[in-house]
Amino acid sequence: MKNKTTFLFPVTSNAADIVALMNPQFDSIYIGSQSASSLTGLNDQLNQLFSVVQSG
Amino acid sequence: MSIKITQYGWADYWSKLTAGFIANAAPDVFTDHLSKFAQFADLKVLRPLDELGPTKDVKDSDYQQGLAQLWKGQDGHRYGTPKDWDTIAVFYNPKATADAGISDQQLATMSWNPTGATSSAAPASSAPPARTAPTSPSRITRTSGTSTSHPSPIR
Repeated sequence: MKNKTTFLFPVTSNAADIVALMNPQFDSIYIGSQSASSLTGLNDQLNQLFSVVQSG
Repeated sequence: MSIKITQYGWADYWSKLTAGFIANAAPDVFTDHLSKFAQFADLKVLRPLDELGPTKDVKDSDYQQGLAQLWKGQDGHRYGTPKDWDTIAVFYNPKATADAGISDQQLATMSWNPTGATSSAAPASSAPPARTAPTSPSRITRTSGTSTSHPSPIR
């Protein structure tokens, strides 16, 4: 902290929605039915969640 | 006054808390999380601490720099106070990342939200490991466990 190589924890809104999107996707990766590259689509979904909520 | 303390596992805890808000059976004080409280504030199930007698005098400067500001909602009200803090770091296997075509430099400058058009968020740290501590509060996505939590009265 003295050297300023850390930063504050990101505050997150829409927590329940994020968990609902992330948990099944990660479960699928853990059991091998989805590849790690599917996370790119998940990331897009999460970003969309924020634009939807902000505009709504 | 009697105080009843209960403990639950992580996932059960947040489910029960949310259900409690809906059922009007939520606790008066609870441990919250920076990745959770904003939605509770949006749902208006938290009481602003700056409007409650016992907590209205809480000041940002009462805490380690930056920590208390994180608990202010977008409406400017304070919805929690830090009860502790820690640091989170990213560890990686340099061989695995090199094999995947990711350089140490990329890891050192990565942000919390890789595709964010609004990348005003996360200032990347200059060294790969170590996260969390004084900088400016930012509001972005990412769930990950830290425990800058706090007690927060409920409406």
